[in-house]
Amino acid sequence: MPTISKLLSGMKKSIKERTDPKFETQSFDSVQDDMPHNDRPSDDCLSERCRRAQLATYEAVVIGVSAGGLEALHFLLPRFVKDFALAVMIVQHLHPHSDKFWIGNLDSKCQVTIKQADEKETIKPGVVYIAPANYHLLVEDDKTLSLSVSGRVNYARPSVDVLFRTVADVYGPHVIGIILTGANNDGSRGLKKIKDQGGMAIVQTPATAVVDSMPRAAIEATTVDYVLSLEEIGALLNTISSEKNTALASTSRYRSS
Amino acid sequence: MSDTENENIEIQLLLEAMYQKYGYDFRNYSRASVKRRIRHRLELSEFENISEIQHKLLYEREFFEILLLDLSINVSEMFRDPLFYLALRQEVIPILKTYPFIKIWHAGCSMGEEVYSMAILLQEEGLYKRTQLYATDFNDVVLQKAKAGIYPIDTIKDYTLNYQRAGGKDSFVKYYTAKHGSIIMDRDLKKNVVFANHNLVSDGVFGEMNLILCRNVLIYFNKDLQNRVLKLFYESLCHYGILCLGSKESLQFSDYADYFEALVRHEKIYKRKN
Repeated sequence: MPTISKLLSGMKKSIKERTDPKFETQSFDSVQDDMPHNDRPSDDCLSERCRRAQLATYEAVVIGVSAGGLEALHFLLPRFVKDFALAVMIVQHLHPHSDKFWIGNLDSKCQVTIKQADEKETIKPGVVYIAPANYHLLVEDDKTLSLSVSGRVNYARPSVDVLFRTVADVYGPHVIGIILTGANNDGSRGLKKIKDQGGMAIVQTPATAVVDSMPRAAIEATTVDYVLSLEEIGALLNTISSEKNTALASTSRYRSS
Repeated sequence: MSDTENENIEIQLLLEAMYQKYGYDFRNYSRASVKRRIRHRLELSEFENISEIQHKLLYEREFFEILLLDLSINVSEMFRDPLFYLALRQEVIPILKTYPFIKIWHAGCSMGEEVYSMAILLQEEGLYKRTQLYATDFNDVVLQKAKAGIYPIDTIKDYTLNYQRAGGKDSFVKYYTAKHGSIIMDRDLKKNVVFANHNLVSDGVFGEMNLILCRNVLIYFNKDLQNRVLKLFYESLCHYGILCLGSKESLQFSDYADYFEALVRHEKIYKRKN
């Protein structure tokens, strides 16, 4: 197993290369091979501990996805581990009359629960909430979900920007915003808001997206922390989740002793 | 994070000012949505912050009207959620047919799209003549629009499609005239409709109804306010009266869950228990 710092610094190093369209996407393995083995100085251990502690503070993940999205979600969500420690909220652009059967289908393929978001529902870790077709999804200060049929934003309802902006308000630095494949620029402004409030921004490597305009617009709009393939996004989120679970377990051990 | 903190305080104060000065109470509305609408106004305006909006609100009535429109969401369609109207036709109309006289209340009717949809449905089912419809909203500007029954012509394709999917028995074109880039709804459709100002947050019961429709209004309220309004609906309905909510609204988690039973569960059509 690669250490978390190796994993993250490896990814970070390749960001610039990855945003460059000329660059072929590196595989996960090749990123790890770039890293020096067992020869890290000790102050790195300290910063590694810091990084791990910081990773454990994330509470929620928000994902914005449009054209090519069903495929992307079918690839990404089944990768989430059973005890996934963060709440996930997703805006997938859909036709206004779409039904929710695809959500049930996706749920049957995943270890985490995938459901359509209900209004006033309390957000729980380990659950993936999907915005209903024709409704904006918002998050309230008490971490419950709310819905709205107010006008379209970026021609879309649900709109990624609407969700991202409210999670930036509520979760501040404890949220991870992710933009995946899509044919417009919805989500760029919201992702910038998340960054402004201290959260993390991840964008799918444009070259690996079915339609790359949404990822490209997001990269242009703000300083993105990671540009990754779907596979790497899954791995990173699982790593963050396990850091969170480890931190939670040690807190509860401390409390009970 | 002090900006966020200030903003939250400013929004609370703005809503307080609106209530104390004009009597419109948004304090128990879902805050995320209200915040979005106020920010939108701030972005459109030249104001530096929400406190400046509050000042203008207190001193200029015209500005209050603008803000009131900002805070009310007036997005709807004719036969919105066609399958709901199909269920209404198949499951609710047969019940209404058993009454000699029918009273229907559209609470939060906005610009009236769903009121005209209901009127068309009642005409086609031969019930319109013995029905009284009450269409209420808290906003006089949108009520005027509802009363006028004039809509942009580019909506017609969607409305016609909705009408057909909702089990429409005739041709939708029969119910409107197209003129100057608009469609004007047939006058006969509003013959038995009373358009009136009523605020669900502060006003009470005004009649005994056989059917209440309040779709996509409760989603903007917090739990307390939802319960208040559901109590109002319960008290306004006759025995076995019918309540229709929006497709993502539910009685399930409210204090009034036991006062109603589902008639068509997936379309959020409920029947008052005795």
